[in-house]
Amino acid sequence: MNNLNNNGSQEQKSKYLPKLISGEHVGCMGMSEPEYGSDAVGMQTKAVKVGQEYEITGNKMWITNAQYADVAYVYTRTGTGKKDLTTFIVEKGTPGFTVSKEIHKMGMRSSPTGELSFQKCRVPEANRVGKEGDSVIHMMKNLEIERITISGISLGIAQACLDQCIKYAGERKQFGKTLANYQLIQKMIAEMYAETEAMRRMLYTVCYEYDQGNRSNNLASAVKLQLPKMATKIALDAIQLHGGYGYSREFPLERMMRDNKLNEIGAGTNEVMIMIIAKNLLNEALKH
Amino acid sequence: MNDFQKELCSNLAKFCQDSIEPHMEHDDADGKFRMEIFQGLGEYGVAGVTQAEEFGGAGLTYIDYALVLEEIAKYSVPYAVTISVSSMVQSILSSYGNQAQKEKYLPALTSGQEIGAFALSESHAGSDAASLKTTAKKVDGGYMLNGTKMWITSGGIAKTYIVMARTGGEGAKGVSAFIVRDGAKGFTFGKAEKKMGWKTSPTRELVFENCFVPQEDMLLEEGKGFTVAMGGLDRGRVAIAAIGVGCAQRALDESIKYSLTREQFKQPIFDFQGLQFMLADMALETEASRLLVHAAAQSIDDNKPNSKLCSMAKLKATDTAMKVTTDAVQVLGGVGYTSEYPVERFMRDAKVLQIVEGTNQIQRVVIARQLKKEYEQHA
Ligand SMILES: Cc1cc2nc3c(=O)[nH]c(=O)nc-3n(C[C@H](O)[C@H](O)[C@H](O)COP(=O)(O)OP(=O)(O)OC[C@H]3O[C@@H](n4cnc5c(N)ncnc54)[C@H](O)[C@@H]3O)c2cc1C
Ligand SMILES: Cc1cc2nc3c(=O)[nH]c(=O)nc-3n(C[C@H](O)[C@H](O)[C@H](O)COP(=O)(O)OP(=O)(O)OC[C@H]3O[C@@H](n4cnc5c(N)ncnc54)[C@H](O)[C@@H]3O)c2cc1C
Repeated sequence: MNNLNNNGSQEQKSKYLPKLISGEHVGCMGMSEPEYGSDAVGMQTKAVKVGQEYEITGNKMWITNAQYADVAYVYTRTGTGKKDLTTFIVEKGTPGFTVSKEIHKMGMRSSPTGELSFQKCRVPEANRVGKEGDSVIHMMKNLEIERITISGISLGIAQACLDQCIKYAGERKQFGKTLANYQLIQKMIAEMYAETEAMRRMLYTVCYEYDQGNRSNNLASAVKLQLPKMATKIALDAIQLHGGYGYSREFPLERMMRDNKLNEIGAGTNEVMIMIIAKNLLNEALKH
Repeated sequence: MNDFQKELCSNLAKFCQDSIEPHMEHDDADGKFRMEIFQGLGEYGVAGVTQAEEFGGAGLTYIDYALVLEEIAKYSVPYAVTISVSSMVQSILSSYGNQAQKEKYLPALTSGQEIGAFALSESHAGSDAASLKTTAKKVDGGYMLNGTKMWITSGGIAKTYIVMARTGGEGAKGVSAFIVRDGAKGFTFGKAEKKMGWKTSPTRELVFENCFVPQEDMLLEEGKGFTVAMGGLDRGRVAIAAIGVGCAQRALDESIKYSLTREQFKQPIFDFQGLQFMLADMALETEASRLLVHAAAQSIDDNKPNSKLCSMAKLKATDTAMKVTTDAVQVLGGVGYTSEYPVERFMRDAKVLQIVEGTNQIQRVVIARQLKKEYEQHA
């Protein structure tokens, strides 16, 4: 949606956005491929111009909402240069466009993931977003937003873990005292709080800057590097604080941990965030 | 490793590759335990590694045992756990059982024909196990058990259960240990836990409703339950630690293999320093844990079990298993998050290693207690 709103034409926006916004339609975004994950710009799915149409051929892997999407927002290669990427809006049911079955995952299980396959799939020129070769910029700008919003999920998970730990520490008794009495438990909860607040303040500050129109690739990447990693640690600690109960499905903690781990991988891994930040900060130094 | 140990491990690895590995992805999803795998391990002679040959054991050392558990855990943490709990029951029987009890219960366990289970925890008594509420009331010819045990590994699949129940007043001194067989009248199985991992190792409640246990199935005498429970503790911790090492080693092996073949930005991802540092740290932590486990096992082999070392090994090796498996999912990226590769399973299996056999918080409490004791002894 965001991407369409920023980069689509007026006609594209009025055709697709209202139903996506109302929730009547579901959208999916196809960037990653089986052989191109971190190196997304290296993608090989091709779109070739044929008359008033484009013919798309290739596979998109790991696509969230794949099975339920009414519209797919698909990145393709339209030229020979590294950055010749162009996006198309492909509607469900377009001949040559199929979706695989669900991929079985560690977490995020109520969010289906699948592979999109395009075999000489024809889409009208009107469904091209922007001009040919515009999409590397679209992609990078959109990823910044995705990195910030995904981090919001990690913040929610961290907060939910903290709340549940505070509650449990007051309820569960061992050795005649509630867990809250033990300094090791106090340390876990105090650190969880400090980390959750650090996450919140960092995320909100960066969101505020974006709302003011001050984008920063560096800050968006820093948020994505910090928040998901911290939330995995907090969720693991929350399980630990609940002992055997934390490991069981009776409490939501083990699920939250499994869900959160994805945030360290999707929309650019932790390691890719390091690459981006380093490239930005060391831009000058790298010239020597 | 000496030649014997090398051969033991490579034969065992072959069995695991052929008989365990092919099932794990699906059995993990379905929560399926296979008795034939357990018995197969028994035929390999690893169901009672440290037990005396007189009772069908292999008569090997604790270091050998640690190597065996590490090897099995590389393929399946839950099967290694089933073996380790059953072995702990054997250790208890051989340390505290009388001749008749040993002859009656040990051979089926050491040979791997049957599984043993250890029932201490209850819903309100976890770390504070001495607060358990299950009662054993003296009656004519034996005891009547009432109460519910929770979190019992191999509940439902085991035949011989060591059950801790209260025969006296509050605290550890009021607890006694009993041997209860599957099928005893008044002994049933409660709910099976749904867990994050260890899916092929059933964890269940045991329910005792006026379950009669004859006098001859009591271990030691009244009030000695905690002697029995704590006596197996050091060994149990080393076992869980060895499983942690195997879990970490597999995650590391998968990471190396994948990163050497996966290319991004036109080169194997192994060639990026960022990944090399992660892999180097993973290997370092795994090796450090292994050395600690072997030092702890050696102290048991020397008949001078060092509780501090055993707790340190448990703490370090299980924290390492958690860290290394989490990093392995990261190294594999998207595919690491799916069940097509085993690393996410190992990550889920690792977490509970930090909780069982004394949580890692309790290990720190134990280590600190030992530090004080040692200081006072030297002062
Ligand atoms: C559940 C799920 C949902 C997803 N949803 C979508 C979606 O809707 N749309 C979409 O387009 N994609 C989606 N993705 C794909 C996701 O963005 C990729 O998984 C991610 O970018 C990583 O790519 P990869 O899995 O190919 O890992 P790889 O790129 O193969 O990375 C493997 C490892 O190598 C490291 N690495 C790679 N390059 C370097 C380097 N230069 N230096 C140091 N380390 C490096 C990585 O950090 C990682 O640890 C989804 C993935 C999952 C698992
Ligand atoms: C899969 C699985 C298999 C198991 N198998 C068996 C089995 O076969 N037999 C058996 O008897 N039990 C078994 N258990 C139970 C296991 O031993 C307990 O879960 C464990 O002892 C912790 O107890 P708890 O879960 O009640 O946690 P609690 O004791 O309630 O602990 C909750 C939290 O408080 C912390 N805590 C407690 N006391 C202190 C303290 N004094 N100072 C600081 N922190 C403290 C703990 O570290 C933990 O973080 C199993 C558990 C699981 C999950």
